[in-house]
Formats: sequence, structure tokens, C-alpha cells
Amino acid sequence: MIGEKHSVRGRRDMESKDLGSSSGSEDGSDVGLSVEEKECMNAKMFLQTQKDNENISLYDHLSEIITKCLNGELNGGLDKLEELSQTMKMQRFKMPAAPIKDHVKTTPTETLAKSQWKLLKKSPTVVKSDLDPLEEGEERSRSVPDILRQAAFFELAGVGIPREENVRISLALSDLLNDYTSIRTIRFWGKILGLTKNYYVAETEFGEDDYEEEDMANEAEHEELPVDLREEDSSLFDDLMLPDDIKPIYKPPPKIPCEPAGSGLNKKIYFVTLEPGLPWIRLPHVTPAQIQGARKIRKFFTGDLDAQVITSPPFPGAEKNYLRAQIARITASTQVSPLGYYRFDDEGEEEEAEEAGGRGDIIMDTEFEGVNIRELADTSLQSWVHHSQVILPQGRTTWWNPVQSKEFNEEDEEEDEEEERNEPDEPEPESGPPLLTPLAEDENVGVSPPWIANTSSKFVPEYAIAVLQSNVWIGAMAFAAEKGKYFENLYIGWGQKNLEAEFEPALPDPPMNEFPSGAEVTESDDPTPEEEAAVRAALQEKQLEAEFSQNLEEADSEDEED
Amino acid sequence: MDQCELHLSIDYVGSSGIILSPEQKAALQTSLVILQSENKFKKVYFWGKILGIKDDYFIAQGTGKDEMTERRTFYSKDCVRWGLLPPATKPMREQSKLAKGRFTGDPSFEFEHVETKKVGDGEDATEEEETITIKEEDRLASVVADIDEEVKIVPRSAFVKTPTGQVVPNRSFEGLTVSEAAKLCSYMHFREPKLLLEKTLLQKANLDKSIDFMDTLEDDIPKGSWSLQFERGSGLMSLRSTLWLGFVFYHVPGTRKFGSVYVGTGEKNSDLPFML
Repeated sequence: MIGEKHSVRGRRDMESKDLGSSSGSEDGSDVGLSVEEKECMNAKMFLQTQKDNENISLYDHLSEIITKCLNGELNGGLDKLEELSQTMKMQRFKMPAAPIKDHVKTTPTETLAKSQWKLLKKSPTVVKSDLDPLEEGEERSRSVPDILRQAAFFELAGVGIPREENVRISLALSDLLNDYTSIRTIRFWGKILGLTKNYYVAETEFGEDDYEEEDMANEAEHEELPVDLREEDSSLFDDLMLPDDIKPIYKPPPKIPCEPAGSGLNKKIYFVTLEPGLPWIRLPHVTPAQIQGARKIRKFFTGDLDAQVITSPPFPGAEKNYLRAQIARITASTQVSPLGYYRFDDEGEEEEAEEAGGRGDIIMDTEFEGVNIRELADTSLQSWVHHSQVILPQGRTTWWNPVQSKEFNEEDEEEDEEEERNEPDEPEPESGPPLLTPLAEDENVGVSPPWIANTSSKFVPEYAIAVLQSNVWIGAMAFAAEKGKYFENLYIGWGQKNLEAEFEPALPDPPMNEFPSGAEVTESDDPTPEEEAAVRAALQEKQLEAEFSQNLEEADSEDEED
Repeated sequence: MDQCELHLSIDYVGSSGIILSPEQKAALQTSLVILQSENKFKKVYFWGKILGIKDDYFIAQGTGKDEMTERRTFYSKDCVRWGLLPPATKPMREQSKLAKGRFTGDPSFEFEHVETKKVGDGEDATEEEETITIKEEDRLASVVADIDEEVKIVPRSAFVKTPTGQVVPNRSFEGLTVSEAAKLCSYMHFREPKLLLEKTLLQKANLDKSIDFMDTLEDDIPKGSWSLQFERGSGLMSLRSTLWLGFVFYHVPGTRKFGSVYVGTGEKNSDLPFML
């Protein structure tokens, strides 16, 4: 057997096949193997039994050891035998799969990346270049503006958002455009930073007929202010039993209605999102009360649209209303364009145009020749105009007369007492500067000018663009390039106005005056003792006279009876 | 923001609305290197930009071996020529708080502050008007010093204090993990500690003297004066100060990258308690 090293294995294989079978083996026949051979086979089979937890049988292990010895790997003979056996066992060890596996959580980075990936994966709408000119015009106006081009100009000016973010914003805007078919124009308004999250704001304009449908949806939202903020019409005094003459004459100031959707402050609809790629949320219409409220408070945005705005005086709404009000204020103050880019729509009758007093619609001036960049960057600011309406102190862009509607209401209610009161003088209509006033007319902020105008480049002045930054709303900026024919506004900031001094919270209104003086309410002096005596004396005299005349009558009647 | 990685790091603060135009980047890359070599600074940082009416001031700081004490501040209007700002002394800083309005852009401009004082007692009191003039350069130096003192922050263990008392960058700082980066206590004010000394021994027991030698942001009053946000999911963390609007600190968790920059008007937000 010593010479047959290779055949040790071979023999085994053949032997194992032969187990229990009667098929022919090399040795020959069914007659049987000799007793010794049988015993040898049994011994071999015994050695080959595999225990369950080992991969290899005793027979194989021994045969490997012997192979190694014969190959000359066992130096040291019997002393090293155990070592060799152990080494071979160790080498055969395979680590089972680790019982504790890494728990792969999706990180927020991945979640955000996935939602932004969806944006990138969307195939852009095919550009139809073979349309009729008419149709083409409409289609074109429904497209997202060239955000990247604007971003490049803003970058030249050294303000704005990095380019990659602008790509995402552009994709998100086209997403929004596809979701809402009633959007006519769309624009990236800016970014408002908040404490925990930021808002990306898109400004859209709906088609004229589409405002009404959306309005119905919003009216329901309007009414659901939190209970404590709703103005209570029933006053406290109704519950007390007061004589009718003494009723408080205080009536809360009339609720100024908000401008109907599609006009004034609510002409533009705003959408916000927390990150480009996340769904866009529509902001509700703004009411004058919210504008007035926003003027009185100073608060950061938190990033949660439904958060309560806890301030003094209380703000009528949640954070989304506050956000909408600030956006309206910023838009009204800082949306500017080069002089001559827009002009009034003079197609109507002359009288109408005069009545409107500069509040008519503005349209692009197709004959705009452009303004020199140096003039645009001039600090006197003569070449820039506002193209959005100013917000009156009332909170609207058009004046609403509160007295008119009061009279209307009184006819319905028919309360005599109200009519007896003196009507307050009809309040003077508030008016602001008309549309398209140059920025030079803006008020200063303390000692600093309201706008800062610059050119973008010191090194290459021939190709510089004009940049305007607002000092009233820090973060509002505008640029003009190509002789003023290409311009854009943007806001990136915290959404707070630049006050010239420290903020002072508004004091509460002075308390109501006392009841008007009248006979019922005026205190009169108590009568002095002399007066009382005089009155008593007079009364007694009267009584005596009455008794006297009565007695006379009785006497007369008695006489008559007799 | 370290000047050697300026053009890369400026992208990190972009989401707060801070970008540099390509011209400014090009000019800064060159001029800051020259500044470093001329003054033999160990490191030069682009500190930020203070916006003025006619012009903006670009501010850079150069440090020696000890980053906390050996700092010199430079300003420039065009990113090419740098001028040294005088060190801000305490009386200078007190006075500069009286100057109101934006920076004009002219370093020699003088702000005037009128203070009326009553001189004399009783009926003889007369009001005297005292005009205090503050130079714009001094105001600039004071604003930079104020911002550094109040909001300049670094991640914990990014700097170590050697036994000799020097504050040097920590070479084995590997960055904060995402969970550490979300906590305000992992950031510290880069200045002499004020609140740390008032802590009890029990609170100080767990602190490591070489790393925790500065105040953490958690003790800042008012709470909420820092806005901690993660951009790109958790890939970038930015801290914005609401006390000095325009100060942004960024850190990429898991890496050594961090830095801060201020781009703003240079006016402190004193209405902060109302706004939170």
C-alpha cells in the first residue's frame, strides 16, 4: 500500500460506489470478498462516516495527514503530528455568517436624493417648433423662465443662489407648471430663510377664468382661523341686564374685505416648497387684516407652515398667512424694472385712463429702446420704477370705503339708536404713489438711502451689469443687463424689514371712553338741607291747598244735596 | 474659510444666499496668497464681506501659530489691495455701537452721534450737546471684533490647547458624525471662555481640558439664536446666526471641512428676543 499513494483515494471512491451493490467490481464477483477484505471495507466505511457538525470525515482527515507526511511537509516526525493535525483543522475553519448584520437605514440624504432624482428623470416636454405663430405665442408664455441665465447674471453681481440649486429650482418650477394647468405665467420669486427650514417661493399668475374655481377652495380655508383669533361679534354686554338707555356704543371697526382673487394683492398666487423636489404647497390669499398685522410684528419664520404665530398684538393667522403677507409686502416694495420697460395700457378711452390715475394695467413696451447701464447703476435711481402696486395703510392696493357699506348694513338692521349717533366724517381715501414711479421717490431708511445701485464689475466695466440691492428689505435685489432689456428681481433673505431704529412692539389701543354724558349718566349734586326744606315746605303747602279745595268741594256738594 | 479652498468652500454657503462672483474669486485667490506670503502668516482666512452703500468691504484674517490670539484683520474694497485694520480696543467698540445706519463704503467717513448732557444742578441746568465722531474704519474694526467675539464658532475637538497654552488645529480631527453635528453642544465659541469658568466642578468633571476649553453653543442666551439646518439631506450642515444676520457656519459631517463666513450689513440684530 505504500507505493500506491494516489490510489488510496481512487480506491476509496470505487469502494464507496460498491457499497451494498452487487454490480461488478474490479475484484470480481458476488462470491464475496474475503473476510479480511470485508473487515477492511467495514473499517473504511466506519472511518468515512461524517459527523454532522464537521465537513469532513475522519478518513479524509487522516488521508490528508498521511499525504502531507509522504509529501515531506511533516518535519520533526511524531512530535509535530498533533500540531500538523491542528493546523489543518484550523485552516479548514470557515466563519459562519455574522449573526449581527449592519442595519442599513436610509439616511435623509438618500431620501432627498431620491425625490430630486425624480425631478431629473422626468423627460422635458417636447418643444413644438412647427406650430402656428399664434399657438406658439401661448405655449411660450407658459414656459418656465430661463432660470440659469438669470442665475449667471446674479452670479456676476455676486448675489444669489449657486448654480446647481438653480437647476433644481428650474426643474421644480416646470414640475409645478405641469401639475397646475391653470397657471399662465410662473416665476421664481426667491428664497426665505427660516429657523428650521427654508422656503423656496414661486410666483404664478392664473388665467383669468381660473381664479374663480380656486377661490371657492380657498374661502373655506379663510374662515377657519383658530377660535381665539376669530373676531367675536357679540359683545360681553349682551349677557348683562342693562337698562336699554345705557348700551355701549362701541362697535368693532368694520372688517375690511380682502381684494377679490385675480386683482390687487391677490393677483399673483404663490407656491412654496421646502426643497426643490418636494411637493409645492399653495399659499392662501392675503387679507388686509393680515397685512396690517404683519406690519406690527417682527418674527422669524420657523419653516413649518402651520405653526402658530404667537405675537403681541396677535396675528390673525398661521405661519402660512404671515408668510403670504410678508411676500405681498416685499413684492409691493421691491419689484422694480428699468424705466420704460413697462408702460400703461393706453388702448382704453382717455377718460378711463385718467380716472384710474395711473393704476391701469401695465404692459410691456415693445418699443423700449433700452437704458444705458451707467444710468441704471446711477445712485440717483431715476431709471428704475416700481411695477407693482403700493399697499395702502388699509392693507389693500385699492381704497375701500368703510362708510358706504355701513349705511348699507344699517338699512338692513334698522336700529334706531345707531342712526341717532353722529356719523363719523367720511374718512379720506388713502392713496399711494401711482404705479411706475421711479425709485428716487422712495423714502430713506433713517440716514441711509433706500436702494443701493452698483455695477457688477470693476475689472471689466464694458460688460458689467447694473445691480440694485434694497435697503428697506435686506435681501431683495435686481439686476439689469443688455441695456436694461433683460432684468429680473429676486429675494433671498430672512423676510424682515430693515427698521431704522429698534423694533418697538405696538401698544394696545387706548381703552374705550366712558359713556357719553346724558341725563341718565350724569352725576348730579345731592340737594342741600335748605333746598330740601324748601321743597318740603312747598309740598306741604300744596297738600294743604289740595285738602282745602277738597273740603270746599265736599262742602259744596253737601250744600247741593241739601 | 481657509483661503486655499476658497473656491470650493464658497459653494457650501451658497444655500444661504452667499456667493462670490467669478471676478471676486479670481482676485481673492491671488491676493490672499500674496497677503500670506508678505506677512508670513501661517493661515489666511477669508472672513467675509460687509455691505456698504457705495462699496462693500472684503475682510480677511491672517493667523500665526496660535489661532486665538495672533490674529490680524485686513480689509479691501476691490479684493486686490488690502489694508490693515487697527485692532479694536474696548473704548473703540463702545463708541462704535453708537453709530447708526449702514456703512458707506468710504473708510474715512465719520459718523456723528449727538449726545445731550445736562450740565449743572437744579434750575441752572443747561443742555450741552456733545458730538462724538466715529471713523468708519474704527467702526469696521469694532464690528469685525464683535462678530468674532460673539458668533465665531468651531466644531468641538477641531482645536486643541497645548500644555503651553497655545491653541493649535487638531491634526487628528476627523469631523463630527451626523448625530453629533445635529447637537448644539458640539460647537464652541472660538474665544476666551466666559461661561465655562462658572460651571460647577461636577459639570466640568467629564470635560477634557485640551478640547473643552471654550464655551459651547448650548449655553447661548437667548436659546434659539442659532438656526441649525442640514442641507442635501445630511450631507452638509449649516448653522446660521440670528444675532448677526448673515453669519453662516458650515461643516460637512464625517470630513474635516468646516468654516464660516459673514456677508451682511454689519448691524447686530437687537430685536432678536421679539423675533423668536
